[in-house]
Amino acid sequence: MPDPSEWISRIREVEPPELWEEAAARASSVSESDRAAVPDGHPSSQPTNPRRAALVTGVAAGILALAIVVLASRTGPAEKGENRATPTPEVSSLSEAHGLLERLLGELWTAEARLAELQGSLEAAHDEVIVLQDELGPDPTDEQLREIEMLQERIQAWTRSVAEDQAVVSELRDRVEEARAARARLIPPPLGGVYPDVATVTCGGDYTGGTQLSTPVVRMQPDGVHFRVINGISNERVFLVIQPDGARAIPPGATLEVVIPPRPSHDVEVTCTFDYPRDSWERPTHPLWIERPSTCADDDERRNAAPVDGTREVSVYFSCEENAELLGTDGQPVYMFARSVPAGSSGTSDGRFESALRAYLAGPTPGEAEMGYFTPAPASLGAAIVEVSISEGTATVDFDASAEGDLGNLGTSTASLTFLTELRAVAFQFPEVDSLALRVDGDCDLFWHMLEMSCQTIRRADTCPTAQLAVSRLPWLPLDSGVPDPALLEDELGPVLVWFEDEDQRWAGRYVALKRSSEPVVGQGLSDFPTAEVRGEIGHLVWIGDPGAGEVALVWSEGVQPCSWFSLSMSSVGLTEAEAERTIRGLAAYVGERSP
Amino acid sequence: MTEASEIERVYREVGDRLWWALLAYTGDREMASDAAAEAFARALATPETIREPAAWVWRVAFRVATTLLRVPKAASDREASYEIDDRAADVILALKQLPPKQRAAFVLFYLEDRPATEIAELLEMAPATVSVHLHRARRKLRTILGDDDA
Repeated sequence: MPDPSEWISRIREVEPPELWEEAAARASSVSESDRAAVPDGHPSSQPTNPRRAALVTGVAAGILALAIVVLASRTGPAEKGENRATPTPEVSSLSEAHGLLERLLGELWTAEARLAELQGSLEAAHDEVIVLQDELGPDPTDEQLREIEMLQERIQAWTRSVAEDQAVVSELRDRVEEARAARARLIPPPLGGVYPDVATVTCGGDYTGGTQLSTPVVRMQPDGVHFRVINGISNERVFLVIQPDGARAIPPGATLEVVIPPRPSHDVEVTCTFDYPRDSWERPTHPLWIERPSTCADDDERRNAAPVDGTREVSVYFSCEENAELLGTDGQPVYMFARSVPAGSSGTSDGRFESALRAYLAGPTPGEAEMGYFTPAPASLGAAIVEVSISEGTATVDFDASAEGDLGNLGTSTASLTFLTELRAVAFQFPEVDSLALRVDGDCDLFWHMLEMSCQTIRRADTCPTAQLAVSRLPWLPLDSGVPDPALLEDELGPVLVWFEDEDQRWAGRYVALKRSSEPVVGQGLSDFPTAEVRGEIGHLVWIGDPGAGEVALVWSEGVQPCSWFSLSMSSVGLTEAEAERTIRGLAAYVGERSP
Repeated sequence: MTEASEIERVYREVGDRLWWALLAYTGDREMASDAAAEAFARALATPETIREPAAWVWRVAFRVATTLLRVPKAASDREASYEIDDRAADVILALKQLPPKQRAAFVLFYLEDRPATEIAELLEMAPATVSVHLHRARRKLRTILGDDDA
């Protein structure tokens, strides 16, 4: 729609007539008695020309009729039914929960609008009754009395409707809170970097039809919650309303960064609107979940303090509580911390590895632990080390039997796998170590029995097979569309990310469309896409999906050193085709740069 | 106390704007003229009872126009009403698809640049109701006009 003010101003291109003489002529025909009967602000009942004859009976009736026409449908059964809150379905995924909350907020918004309209018109109708009663002469006509009676009946009906609408609004408010709680339960644990740090809102109009919140989940930054607001309207200012914080004006066509203060609450609601009446019933309808700042964020300075004289630096690796969902999986990230060990004891390969191992088993510092880093390895294990050696690429660690004394929770599968993941990282930071043998009193079985596993040697991966990340443009498929029609594979609907799963780089039948609220969709028969190579171990794509409607998150692991692995995660926001594609291409480039 | 000369001053000051607003509201130049002339006629008839003549005239003019909208017109009158510029006619035709209250709120807000509180007073409705009407009017006009009406 064009700018309303500019558009409607075309009316001024019509030449207005001169009306003063006509008005003066009409005025002269009004009698003195008529003047006395005219109250301030209300039309006289005396006609001054033929059309005024219609007004005599028409003015009051017209006003009444207008109010009645506007509101009569309010009392009709169909309208009432339409105003009922729709049943709340069960939700099983975050996308569903988010969609439900958005829908309920929209319904609440509509119900509140209807209620406000009804209440406003009801007030006006009350006023009309008073005015009409004032205008009654000593001998009111039957028509006047009938109109008042009819209006009073309507007022009674509307009053009942107000009560009903208030009940609907109240019920919807309860459901919104229920949906909000359901969504909160389904918010996945924050994975480092999965959630964007900036919420993106595009204003293409106002309220439910004109607001696009592309990032329903955003991670708070230290200084607050960041919004990137795009006013897609070139000739009209909009407001970004953030409840409960207020509003920020966004100039026509502009993009602004808006930051609201940090908050204990994890939920706000946003919307775009053309006008921002502070006392309005209107409320934002787009929920935004604010995730707390990451405590596991990269911080090279903290982890890599420069070694002082007489010491040598080794690395230790710990897990982070934030990533509880990934603990014990192939994709579990570990976080590297620098430790300074005496140079004398770490001059040889054996010495450096032993120093790193002992530093690792000592666990995180109190400061690191406070930030959420931990290891399931019991500290007592360090004291149980008898011998560490490296021979022909195999590092062997021998513990004494005291290692079996205090295992903590190492007996659980998650803890033991987490422990082994960390231990791998500690051992394979040294290029001369290709495999790791663990013993208790020289017995392989005794060690692995502690972990309820059978004897084995941990090996560095021999090869680093290449997975493929293909960036292409494919149909933007609806959720239920199933296999895409090849005829639709045109450059028209949007980008998808294609991941080749097998070693022969054959299409393995999996891609994800960057579509709001989409889930992975299976397709087949796709070929000839430009590709970007991704280094990594096949099968290490550990998670690909939609963490919260509007974004696609990828988490997979790859070698932090050649053929080792690390965790890479990012989120791609499918705001527009161009932006989504740019994001994916950026991901591909990033992965390419990190490849050995 | 207001005198007739004050009413004329108001007419010279706001007469054209009032007529344009009434034209946008009624979609009919004759009806707009009728409502405007009637409002000023009534103001001239009892100037001493009017405290704020400009606001009074606007209020009465819109009331009269509302009433006239409800009075059936002859077909010949209706045809004659559209002898206006095409660009303005497009605006009028689009506005006529809005319900009267939405149309009134929209016209007063965008053509007259009046705040919602003034419109609420003029149309005798709650300010929140004005916002509702404005929102719905915009939404409906967006549907009617699409994006290609620049």
